Amino acid sequence: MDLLRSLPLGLYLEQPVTWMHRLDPRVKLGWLLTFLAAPLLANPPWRIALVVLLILLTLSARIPLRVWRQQMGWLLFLCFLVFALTTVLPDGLNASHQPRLPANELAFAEQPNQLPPPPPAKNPWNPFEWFQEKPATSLDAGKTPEVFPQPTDYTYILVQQGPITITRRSLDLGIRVSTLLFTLIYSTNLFLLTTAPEEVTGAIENWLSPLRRFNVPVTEIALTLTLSLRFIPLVLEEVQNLVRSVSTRAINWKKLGMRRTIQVWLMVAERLLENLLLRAEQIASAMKVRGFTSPNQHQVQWHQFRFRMRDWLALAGIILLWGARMVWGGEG
Amino acid sequence: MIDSISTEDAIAIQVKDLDFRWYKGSTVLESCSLDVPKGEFWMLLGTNGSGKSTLLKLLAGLLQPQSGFIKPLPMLGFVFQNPDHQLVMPTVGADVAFGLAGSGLTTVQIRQRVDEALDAVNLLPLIRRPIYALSGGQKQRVAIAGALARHCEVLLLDEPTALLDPDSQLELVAQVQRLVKERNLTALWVTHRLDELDYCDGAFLLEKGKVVDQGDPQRLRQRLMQIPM
Repeated sequence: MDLLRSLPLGLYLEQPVTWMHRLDPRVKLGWLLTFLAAPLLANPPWRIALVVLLILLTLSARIPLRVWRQQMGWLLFLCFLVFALTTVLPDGLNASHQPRLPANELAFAEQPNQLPPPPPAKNPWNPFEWFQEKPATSLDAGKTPEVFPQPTDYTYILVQQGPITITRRSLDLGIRVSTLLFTLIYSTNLFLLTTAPEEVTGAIENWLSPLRRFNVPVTEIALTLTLSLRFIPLVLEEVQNLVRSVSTRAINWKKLGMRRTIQVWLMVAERLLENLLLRAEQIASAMKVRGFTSPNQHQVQWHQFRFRMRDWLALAGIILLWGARMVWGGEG
Repeated sequence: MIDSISTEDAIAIQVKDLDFRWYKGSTVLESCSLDVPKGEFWMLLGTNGSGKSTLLKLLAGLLQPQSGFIKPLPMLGFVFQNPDHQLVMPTVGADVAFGLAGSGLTTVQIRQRVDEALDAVNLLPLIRRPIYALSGGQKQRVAIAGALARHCEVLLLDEPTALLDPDSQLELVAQVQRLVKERNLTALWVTHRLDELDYCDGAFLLEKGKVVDQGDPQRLRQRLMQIPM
């Protein structure tokens, strides 16, 4: 089990019960989809606003600090790292092009017809001369023209400090990538943190229920999903047991050779499959004894879905958020 | 006539001349008979391979006997050896509610039943907890609560303490004993741990597919202590 307990993401937090726990899971699912879809084709301030909104929501739910640190600390770290790297690294737009005409044409045309006298020969043994500026000559026609006064304060390069160059594009890219990463992972995580797995599948079942009309086995799909959510830990445990059993055998892998190593792992994989099928059989008989009816009728009624005041408010919140997205959030 | 009906009613689990073989040919049970009186807590003892688990599976209807009679058990709860194989929903409350899906109860009634069943096994505070975060003994209690919520009258327990540590093992057996008395259930408990015998009303000793002895648990315990198992 330790493998599962150390997984930092997607664990349900049953204590304390926050206002987010009490929200109807269908509305929460709507909010999750909103958070997944709203950053698409949006401008950077909007993306940052979504991140801030998510953090404010977490703070308002008073999710304990230990959960924050365990599940979200590394995510914040990762996003900052991605932001920093993308901002500092070259933005990919620096294709070096050469103009057909010299950059400062006038200076070029006006230069004297004769060559200037050659510079005095350098003394290679004198280190003080190595770094001396070359005397400016009118031949430097190819150098970049001096910065002219601009009508606006627009500059493409925002910061240029030694090796670090931050351009508008790299900043934009950094904001996009890091906020997208944060919004996607964090909103999903927040949803799973405050929604029990069977609530999630219940909500999905409820949203899919119009498909019953087309003979889609909605209840069966939801039940399958619920069971698989329960048994992912068991599969992990089984894998862990097998890995341990291999590691305690003191196999000398170096002497084993490629062919026999593959044989060992094939054996392990076969064993894993066998164990999993055995478990599935045992679970099937347990379900039978426990009063399982039939896949498409076995609807475990545990969470009542009822819209209360706060659910309507949350629903209004989604609509408001989308309104704001349409007005201010566009790429423009 | 009246007398026979009353004895019929007084027996909850009844098996007569049961035969069972695997297809490969090895005989597991041979003319096996036992009666468990209603409202009592009996244990089934025997060495490995004596057919204890098979007998329980036959009682639960998971296997079909070649011949013999089993009194039909309409509502029974089954607790398996490994708690991870019987809890199917992701959280405690939903798992107890799993068996109630076909019962035609309303959501409120289901909620009441689940609360009551979890209260009976002292797990009500953990109603929202994910299953993977429970200990082994707690998982077995959730499995028992699942049976209680369905208002089962018969509990079959197949070595439920085999994977538990000694403390939670005795705690579980004491709790089942209390539940049997309080709710007038009938329980058949398979075990090979002799110290659990202190809690039951009677015991069967199974050997090579036959009940060779039954009755007072302390006498059986003495008998088993003398024979090296």
